[in-house]
Formats: sequence, C-alpha cells, structure tokens
Amino acid sequence: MIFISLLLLAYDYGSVSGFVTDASNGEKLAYANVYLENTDMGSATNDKGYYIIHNITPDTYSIIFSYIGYESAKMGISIKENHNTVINIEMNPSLIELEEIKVSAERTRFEQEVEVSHITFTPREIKSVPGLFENDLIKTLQLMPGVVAMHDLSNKLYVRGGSPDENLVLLDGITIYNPSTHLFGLFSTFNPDAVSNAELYAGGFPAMYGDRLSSVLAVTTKEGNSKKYTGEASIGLITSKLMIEGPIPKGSFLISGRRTYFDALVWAYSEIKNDTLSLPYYFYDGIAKINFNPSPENRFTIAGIAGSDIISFEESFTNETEEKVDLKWGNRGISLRWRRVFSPQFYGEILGAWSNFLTHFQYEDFSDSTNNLHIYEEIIDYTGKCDFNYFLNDRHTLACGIDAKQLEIGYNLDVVEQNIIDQEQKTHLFTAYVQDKWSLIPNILSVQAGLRTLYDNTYKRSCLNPRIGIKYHVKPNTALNLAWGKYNQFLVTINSQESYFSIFDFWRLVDSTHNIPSSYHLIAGLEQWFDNNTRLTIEPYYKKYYDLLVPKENEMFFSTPSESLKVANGYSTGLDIFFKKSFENSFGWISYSLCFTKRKEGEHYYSPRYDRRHNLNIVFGFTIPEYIPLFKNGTLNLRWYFATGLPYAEDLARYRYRYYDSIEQNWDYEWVVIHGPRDAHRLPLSHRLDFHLEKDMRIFGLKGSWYIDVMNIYNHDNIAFYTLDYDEDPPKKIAYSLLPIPIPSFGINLRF
Amino acid sequence: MQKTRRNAIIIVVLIIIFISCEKPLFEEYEPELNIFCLLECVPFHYITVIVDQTYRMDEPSNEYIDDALVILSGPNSVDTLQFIPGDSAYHSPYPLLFQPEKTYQLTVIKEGFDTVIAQTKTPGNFNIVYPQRLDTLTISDTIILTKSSGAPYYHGYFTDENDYKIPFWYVPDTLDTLVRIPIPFYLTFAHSGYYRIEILACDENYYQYSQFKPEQDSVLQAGITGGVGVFASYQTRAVYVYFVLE
Repeated sequence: MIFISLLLLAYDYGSVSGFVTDASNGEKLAYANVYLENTDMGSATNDKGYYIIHNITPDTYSIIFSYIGYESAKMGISIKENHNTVINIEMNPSLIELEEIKVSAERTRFEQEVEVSHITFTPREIKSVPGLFENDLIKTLQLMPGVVAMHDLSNKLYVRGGSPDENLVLLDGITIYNPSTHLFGLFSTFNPDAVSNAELYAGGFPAMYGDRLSSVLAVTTKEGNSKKYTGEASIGLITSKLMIEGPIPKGSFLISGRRTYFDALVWAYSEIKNDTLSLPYYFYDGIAKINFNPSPENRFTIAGIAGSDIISFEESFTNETEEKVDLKWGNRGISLRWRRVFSPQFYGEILGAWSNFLTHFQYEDFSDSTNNLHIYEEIIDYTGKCDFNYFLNDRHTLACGIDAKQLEIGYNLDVVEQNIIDQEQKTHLFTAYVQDKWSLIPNILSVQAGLRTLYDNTYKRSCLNPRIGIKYHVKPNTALNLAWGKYNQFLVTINSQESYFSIFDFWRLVDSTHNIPSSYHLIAGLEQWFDNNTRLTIEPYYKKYYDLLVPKENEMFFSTPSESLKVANGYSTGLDIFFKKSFENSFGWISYSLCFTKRKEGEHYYSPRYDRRHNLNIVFGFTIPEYIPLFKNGTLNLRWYFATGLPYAEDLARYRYRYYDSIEQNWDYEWVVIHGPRDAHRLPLSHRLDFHLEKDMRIFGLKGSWYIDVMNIYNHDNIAFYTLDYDEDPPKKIAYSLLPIPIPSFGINLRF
Repeated sequence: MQKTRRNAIIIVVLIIIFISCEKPLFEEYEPELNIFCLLECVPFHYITVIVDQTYRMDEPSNEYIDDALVILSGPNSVDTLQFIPGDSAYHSPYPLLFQPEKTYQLTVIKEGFDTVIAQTKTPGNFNIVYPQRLDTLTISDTIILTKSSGAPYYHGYFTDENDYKIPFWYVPDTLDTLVRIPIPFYLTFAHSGYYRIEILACDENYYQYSQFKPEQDSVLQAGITGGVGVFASYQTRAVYVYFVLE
C-alpha cells in the first residue's frame, strides 16, 4: 500500500537519469554529485556511476555535475510530465583546482547511503602507502580501523576479531578464496595497477553480500580507457608490471600482468658464468577486462584473473634427471557480466563467474617410482547471479537478487603410486535477497532493511539472515548509525587461522556433523564531517559467534570437517575510530582500533592469537615544497604504526621424558616443554615508521616517476615470536623480528 | 563548543584506557617433582624410581634429585627406597614381592616441592597361547594371548640373536576373550631367524605414558598427582620363535 501511495505521489512529475563518466578514459564516476541549480533537488551517482533524480516538476532547469578533481559540468534540461530525460555526461579532469566547493565521493556517500563500517579505496590511496618491495592492496587495508595484521609481513586481514577465512573477497564478482598467496603469502593477488577501487565492509554489510561471518572486500578493476590507448609499466625490486588499456569498437579493454624476475636474472647469470646456480621460484598474475557497450542501456563485461606461484626444480646427478619437484598454487577466475538499464528506475546485472584455487605438488623420482608423491587440493566455484535495483521514488530504492553457486572441493594424495586419498565435496548453494533503502524523513532519517536466505542443497539446510541499518542525520554534518545483522558461512577452513605463516587456506564445506557457523553484528556509529574533506567516525561494535569450527590441534591436512574441526563460540567487541583529512597538497588519516576477541571451547574462554588489543595507524602524505630542490613537487608519504602485543603461549618449564630408544637400543630422554595458557602472555609492543617517496620524471620522452620505499626506518625490533635453544642450559630464549633491518625498495613507473 | 569537544575527546580516551587495562593472566610457574617408575610385576624385584623435577626455563637443570624421601606402599608392606648414586635412582634395599592385581602407592617427599602421590594397579596374569616355544612364525601370523585383567594395552619386542629389539604396540578388542596381536608389518624389513618375543601386559598408566607425545603434549601425569611423570606397572611373558620372512 505504501509503495502504491508513493507511486501515485510520483505521478505528474518528470525525472532525469544517466551515467557519469570520466571524459579522459571513460571510467565510471561513483558518487559524483548531481543537482538542479537553484532547487533543493539532487542526487548522486551510485557505485556504477548511475544517477536518477525523481519527482521533478515539469520545467526547464540547469543540471550541474560536480566531482572532486573534475571540472564541473552544467547544462540546460527540459523536464516533461511523466517523462524521463536521459543525460549521460563525461566530466573532464581539472588541471587546476578552482576555488569552488566540491564534495568528495565519500561525503556524497555519507549523505546518500545507509551503511556502517564501510571504506572505499582509490588506486591513489593504495599506491601512496609504503610497501614492502611494492604497494599492495591488502597491506593498505591493514591501515584501516578494525583491521589487524599479525606481524610486519602479514598479508592477511583480521577484521574486528574475525579470522581471514571469514572475509568474503570478490574481484569483479569472482570469489577469491586465497587472496594473499604470492611469495609465500607476502603479496596479494590484486595488482594495484589494475584496481579501480576497493570497498571494505568491516561489519554490518548489506543483504546483497553473504556467506561470510565478518567482512566483505569487493575489488573492482578498471574499466579500461575507452578514449585512447594508454599504458603503464613499472620495474620494481621484485616484480615488473605492465598494464595496457584502450578503446575497442563500442567498448574498452584492459590487460595487466606482473611477474617476478629474480629467477630469470639468476638464470642469465648462470648462463654467463656457466654456473649451476638457480632460483626455482617465481610468481605471475594477470588481469584482463573487456567492456562492450552495444547501447547506452547495455553493457557487457568480461573480466578474468589468473596467477600462480611456481616452484620447480630438478636434481641431476649424471646427465639424466634423477628427481623432479613441482609445486604450484594460484587463483584463476573469469566473470561475464551483463548490465542493463531496463528503465530509468530499474536496472540490473546478470553475472556468471567461475573461480578456482589449485594447489598442486608433485615429486617424481625417476630412478625409483615408488617414491613418487602427488598431492592436489582444489576448490572450484561456479556462480550465477542476478542483482536488480529499482529506484521506486526519491524515498525508496529497492534491491533484490538471486544467486546460485556450485562448489566443488577436491583433495587427492597419491603415495608410492597408490591413491591414498581421493575425496570430493560438492554442493549447490542458493541465495536470494531483498532490500529496501527507505528515506523515512528526507535527509534526516533513513532505514535500510534487508533479508537474505541461503539454502544448501546437499545437506538440505537453510538460513535466514535479516539485516537492518538506520541512519539519523542529527545535523547536516553529523549522523548516527545503527546496524544489526545475522550472517552465516557454509564454508570453513581446516587449517588454523592463528598460524603466523600460512600461504593458503584449505577450504571445506560444513558437513552434516556440524551446525552452520553464524555471527551477529551489532554496530553503532557516529560519523562527523567537519568540512567537506574532514571526516571522523567512531564505531563501537559487538559481534557474537556461534558454532565456529576451529581446527583441532595437530590434525593433518586432507581431512574432513568432522575429523579435524571442533566447535567454538565466541565474541569480539571493540571500538574503531577513523579520522581522515585532505588538504590541497596533503592528506592523512588516523585509525585506531580497540578490540577484545574471545573464543569459547566448552566453558573455557581464550583469546585467539590475533587478538590485538590496540592498533594505531597514522598515515600522512604531502607534496614536497618547491624550496626543497631535489625532490620538489614529489610526494612523501609516511606511515607510523603502533600496536600492543599478540597473545602467545609462553614456554614455562621443561622436564625429562624417559623412553626406550629402539634405534639406539637404550634408555634415553627428551625434554618436554610445559606451555603456559595459550593467551596468558603477550608479545611486546610493536611500532615502526615507513615512508614512500615518489617523484615525477621523464624517460625517453615518456612520463614516469621513481619511488623509494623504506620499511621500519628507525629499525625497531617488532618481536614476532620466540624460540628456545636447548643446546644451552638453561635454554636460551631467542626473539625474532621479521624486519630486522630497515628494508628499502625502489622502482620506476612509466606512463605512455 | 570547542571546550565540549575537548572534554568529549578526553572522556573517550579515558574510557578506552579504563576498559583496555587488563590484569596479566600469567602466574609464576612453580616447579614440580618428575617421577619415573615402571614397575614389573614379578616376585622378588628391585624396584627402580628416578626422581627428577621440572625446571623453569631460566634455571639450569640437574640430572636427578638424590635427597627425596621415597616410600613404596604395597598391600602388606611399606618400604623406604634408597638412593643409589651409581645409577642415579632410588631402589628397594632388598627384593620385593609384587603381586598381580594389587595396588601399589609411591609417595615422594622433597622440601620445596608438592608431595607426589602415585598409584598403580598391577595387571593380572596372562599366558601366550600361540606361538609356543620354537614355533615357526610368518608375517601373516597372529600372536594369541589370554587376557590380563586390568591391562588395556600390550607392548612388546621382537629381539633377534644380536639383541636388536623391534618394538610393537597393541590395544586389544574389548569384546574378544583372547588378545590377538598381528605380527607387525614392519617385520617385513627384518630377517629370518630366531627371535625372542617379549610381551608386556600394561596397566592404564603405562598406556597413558606410551601415548604421550613429547613434542606435542605438555604434561604427563600417568598415575601421578602432585607432580609429573609416570608410575606404571606391567607383567611380562616371553617365548622364543623362528621367524621366516616369506
């Protein structure tokens, strides 16, 4: 009835809608401001660059498009009764910032969306953060409130007390099951050159996302330049990268790739010196995307990702190969997306995606095949998905969608030419959601309510996930947020998420022996904008976990959930504070997280190893003034990090365990260590300062830049773990830090 | 307005400091006595008890403790054991009679440590049904025993002519009235020849001790309270056989 009444109210008015894109490359502009001059009517583009302004009284108006970093566009339009006027606009990047007030995309989002714990990253922000050898998206996300890294080299996301396997990671709609696998977990799969933006929901995410308990990271790659052929190339200490984009008839393409090259350099050196030196490891990845727009209403996009880490070497004792070892792992995926604007109020997307993570190890002994060993572990995800948005009127925006997923998990072990394990899990998951964003009191009170249902076809189980968010604008610059939601996860990992070093996860479906893990998020938030470029958010939260599945101690891989997992409950609660400010030539943010994370096994509560109590990051970047000769107009970005220690089990004591040694044929002993409670001790405080210095230059007539990164400038030992040397009595405690010296890296970027 | 903001910030910071101050969870570790005694249930046996301790990680270790009071209580006797420096262990001054299916208690007192009280119930008698003396065995054979009451676990050795021992372990089927131990598959790597098969019927404490994994597990308390270690008992039977590798 309410909808019908609202529809009737909309009668006799006109509307204007369209897409806003960048004139230089055709990329969509999300959260650009669109308004009718001298009226209070306006809107903003959504994350697809689409906007619509409803309920416009028929007349002639001037419509203005503004976006930070772009020249404002203004044009006259005539609005007719019961008619939608389509205005697609291309905005030109501004060379000089004019003295006019422009609203950032984040600010527009603050006004338009009902969401909590949400942060969007641009490539500029990703690239501005100092990195180990090169920039990395995941490393940048670790600077956000609520996100914790376990150590200096960690490339995993522990979000608000959740483990990395509780994060949904999407790249252009492709589910990425192991996002941080390169170089044994040091780098993520996402090549920053190809990323257009990354959105992180640290909690309370809307009904369109699901099947994870903690957070969502949605990465979107660039559309590809539809105006001209351009490219970027870079040479860094570890990798070289190349990205090319350009127009195709009625569309655009982008292709990017990177590869480590130490192995090639070592090979070349060996060839020159006639040496046998070799480095049998490298990784590569590539991202490709093609957009095809047969009409303004239709867009087809094919996106793909492929990457692999490869270790391969042979042992030759004579001229013949005696042994061969091959180990490779990597993500692959492809998605086909059709976006259609059915009417100005109604648009939708249909997505088909395939995702795969494969781990493959093969050992071949050519002299004795009985020693051969073959292991593989694989997850394959086929997804079909439809999402629809209906702009009912200026009060209601409806969204709904369905999702069908086929998941296949295979794990196989062959030893001595015999198949020891050959197991497969397979299921179909069906999901549907509906959501309404309802502006109860325009510009003051908005509610976003959604419902998501999940059904597991194999085990005939279903879940209902209600979600609700409320935003109350106390003042135009101040809003209070409240979000609550239930979340379920049908997939779990059988490897420990508390491991300091793990390259990839081994995923399993939750079988019928266990309940489906669930979590409830309750988030309250204050968001304050002091001006258009200064933002403060304070978000206390409480997250309750039920039926979590955590690995039993000392369980081997290739097991099923019923064999290797035990049930735990738990909670995490805390407070995230984020303060961000941009000036004309500088920017910076401060993020602080206070988090208490507990897991409960039986009646016993404990802190998991990633329970970091305090986490502070300060990032500051600025353009170097002209009076500093060598670096003038370069940029210097600094990052200071401070965190309290993680819990660990201290080795308290030792004693002799006597046994009969059947090899040595005598009684002997070995030391048994008595460990303290797993969370009774904490590692010392960690802190470090990193910097990223970048300066434009020209090489062979091409625009480019050089950069230097240094991690841990003042060389602080951030203790990651301890070991004990039992050759000494009493045993010597040895502390290890992962950045024992300041680690420099440098490289060159070229644009053509 | 600015004052209100400042006060609000101060309040938030104070709240954060207040709620994030935590009492350390750890307590100082107090060393305990470490006892090792595997009691063989045979008549006229000199019991051997090694008394040691757990050591804090920052303190140096000793081989043994030689000034503890070690008392063994049986069904009809109480004996104080004496430390013999030659083998760094405590022994009874004379051979003792250990009976099957009886409970024995070990009390170890040492100043500065909690007193250890350890108990074991000796397993019942049993016999080797098959093989008999000098029978020929192959890898596909099964050793058959009568059951020893109170023995959840059997342990043994194949000892060859060179006194080389090949161990094996077995947990019997609780429903079977006999114990049927398959010849261990790793005997395929042995050689044909005469072997002495020695079988130990072990009590619950021995089983717990045998299952302990020093590199994974933390505290071994097999029959021990007030300390760590093992106080276990077993009965032994043996037979000579000829093993043929097929």
